[in-house]
Amino acid sequence: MRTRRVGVLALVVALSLVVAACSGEPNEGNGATGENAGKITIAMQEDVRSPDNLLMSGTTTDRLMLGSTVYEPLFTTDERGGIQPALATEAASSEDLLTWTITLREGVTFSNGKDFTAADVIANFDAFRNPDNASGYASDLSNVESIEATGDYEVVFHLASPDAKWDTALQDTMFISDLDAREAELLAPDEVPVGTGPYVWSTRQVGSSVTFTPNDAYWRGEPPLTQVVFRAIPDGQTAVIDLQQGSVDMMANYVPPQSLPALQSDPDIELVSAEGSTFYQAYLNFEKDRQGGYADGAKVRQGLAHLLNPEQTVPALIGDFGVLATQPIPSWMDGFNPDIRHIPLDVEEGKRLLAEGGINEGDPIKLLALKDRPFMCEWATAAQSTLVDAGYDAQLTCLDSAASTPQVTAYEWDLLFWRTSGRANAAVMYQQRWGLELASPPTDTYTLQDPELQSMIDELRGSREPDAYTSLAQSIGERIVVQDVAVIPGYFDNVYFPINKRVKGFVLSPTTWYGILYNAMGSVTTE
Amino acid sequence: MFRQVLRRLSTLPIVLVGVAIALFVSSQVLPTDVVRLIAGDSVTPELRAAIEARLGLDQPIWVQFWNYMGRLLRGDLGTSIRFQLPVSQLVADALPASLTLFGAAAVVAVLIAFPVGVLAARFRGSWFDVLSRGLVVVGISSPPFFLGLLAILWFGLYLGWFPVSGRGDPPDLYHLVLPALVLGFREAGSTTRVLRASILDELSSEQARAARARGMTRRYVLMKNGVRNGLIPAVTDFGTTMTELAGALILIEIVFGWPGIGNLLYIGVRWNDFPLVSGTVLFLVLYAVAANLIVDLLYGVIDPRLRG
Repeated sequence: MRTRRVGVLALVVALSLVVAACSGEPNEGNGATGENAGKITIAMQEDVRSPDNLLMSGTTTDRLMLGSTVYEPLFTTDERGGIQPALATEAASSEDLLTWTITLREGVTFSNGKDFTAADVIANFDAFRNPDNASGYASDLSNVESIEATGDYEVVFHLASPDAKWDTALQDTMFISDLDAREAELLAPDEVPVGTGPYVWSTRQVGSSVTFTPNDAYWRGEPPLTQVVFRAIPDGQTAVIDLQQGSVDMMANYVPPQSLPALQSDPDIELVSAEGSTFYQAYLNFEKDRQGGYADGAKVRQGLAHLLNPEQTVPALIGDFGVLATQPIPSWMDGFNPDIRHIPLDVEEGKRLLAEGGINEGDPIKLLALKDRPFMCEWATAAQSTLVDAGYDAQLTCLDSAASTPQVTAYEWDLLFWRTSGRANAAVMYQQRWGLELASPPTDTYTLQDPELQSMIDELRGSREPDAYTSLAQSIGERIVVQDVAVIPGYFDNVYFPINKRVKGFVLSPTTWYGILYNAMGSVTTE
Repeated sequence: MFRQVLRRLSTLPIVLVGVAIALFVSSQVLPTDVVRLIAGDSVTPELRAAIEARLGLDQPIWVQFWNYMGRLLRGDLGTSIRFQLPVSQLVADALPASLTLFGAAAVVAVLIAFPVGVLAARFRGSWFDVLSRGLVVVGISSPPFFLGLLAILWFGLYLGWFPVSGRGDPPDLYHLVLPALVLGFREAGSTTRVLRASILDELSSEQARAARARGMTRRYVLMKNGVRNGLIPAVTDFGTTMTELAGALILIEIVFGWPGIGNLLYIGVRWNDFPLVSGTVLFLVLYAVAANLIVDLLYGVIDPRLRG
């Protein structure tokens, strides 16, 4: 009996010590003042891939981290997607829209003290276009024939085809670095990137965090923060708790949808949001039609559109995650067509059209969806259920996007539930998402290949007059959704940036699909 | 013992080559598109060709395999596609974080498993025994990420006692507590169960009964017969558990944003970064072999009959 008492007593003492140890030191979040004043910590889903500005095109994280701190583009964006000067002050086109003259800002220096001039712009753009560098920006510059410096602060771009909106192609992208500072073709591991931005690369824990400190020579004046830390927190739920706990101040746009209510009701957090431009869609298969897979492809597409009206399912599925889409561009973008509606739900008409297209009741209809994109697989499951109810053998495969290419390019699917990121304006969006340039089966997804649509896009890119531009962009939307029935529009996701209320001056832009203005860290302050 | 160590080490190259071949084959079989992961969804044929050439993906598969094995034999783990840095450097940078977590979790597991196992056997059928068996079941049956999220919710969000992610800047023990407790608690379950069962077996043996009949105290018999002999299966199980720890470690590092080897492997898998996956997996294989070797050596310490 005595031994048992001693044992219980020892256990109680041990537990007390553990509890005392745990509760002795409260968590030091950034919400505290003092040593954390002027410091901001931002949660990101992953660490930076490479600080090399040539390799940043495909990686959201790199563009967000480096583009808001170290690097700057020639032009940036305002809250409504409008173009704003950054390293360039002005862009002027020739009458034929084949020559664009860019005036550069004077008095700008790189963080290493070197003056920023036209030679740096030429060096960077030559490097972007050099195939040896494998820069993703090369394809964005495919319309550029040559670049020349016509002064220390003036650069001229010569284009292969007219483009009235070419300056927007330079908006929040193709960041400028001091290439002279690079000793190797790629940045050496121990070398830090050199740009003109408000902060400089300080330290990095690979896979964990990158810290930036102020660039004292910043051309807009002294940066307001003493330290900017980007922390990689892969799990969205954990990042949300970190934010609520105060150990991070801001979270990038990867908030799990189920965490939105908790963040909305948290008095210490402001949930900044905007309607985004990332387009979630059910893409219809023109390549299968071209290969003779349907008796009448147009009828199949129309039939499926009659059966799968997203108004019936999408809003209930996605909740606050986004908004219902009716066309490939969002409602706030110039060129949005308010007259486009989803093809009305009509099961009998849908079945009749499918039968005319060669798909009868009991026949298989193959659906392919990306399971790692929010609500894609859920939407596809709802569509499968609708098709099964209508009497078809709807077969759904949900797969990881990284592993999707072989199945996508087999073109055996009838509906592909797919996501495409947005672009700054309708002309760029339609060119880069629906133009012939990328419609290249058997290696890619874009199966539409409509030469008439391409000529409309070309006309749009050469359109100077605002009303004509809007009208033409609206016609393109109508052609894709209503006439070609190339896609069943699903939804646009909302961009969410939850931030601690001690952070001031944060501006969210819907046009940058990752949701942050590139000079954002130059204006953000903390209490 | 020395021969045993040599025998174990002599199989290491065969294991590593086998794993390397399996990794290469799986990288070829898995339907992933590295170019799209790097360049995004606007990929022109020219860009695709340039990136494939840079990564060596334009070479025939057997040439890629030959280059890969050649690099490995020279001790070169390659360059990470995701980070554009040497994999050996990435592994070396992540190693301290993982070793710290490994070590702390092992200490937690030992501190839980051995006292609880011994006490549960000593007070068999008591409330303590029932409670410990319940916790053992929770530890064994719960996926590590689930325990991790529960711990984050309770100790991070509700109680606010501990930070829930990262290692701290500079790294501190405070950030280590939750991941080490979760990992250690989970890994302690199996060893606690084995230790309790083996001690009970030993206590019901003829030697134990004879010792009691000779007037030895219950505590003496427990320590000399029960614990000492019961340790061998428990240490075996602990060794196996430490090998399995590598799997749980990956999940725990992801949930807690811990910048270690498991986190690197996760990033490598997400990005189809074959050099990174290969380097981290080969390292984890080395770890598993080392853990088994240490267990073999511990047998000799615990049971002198096995030293020969």
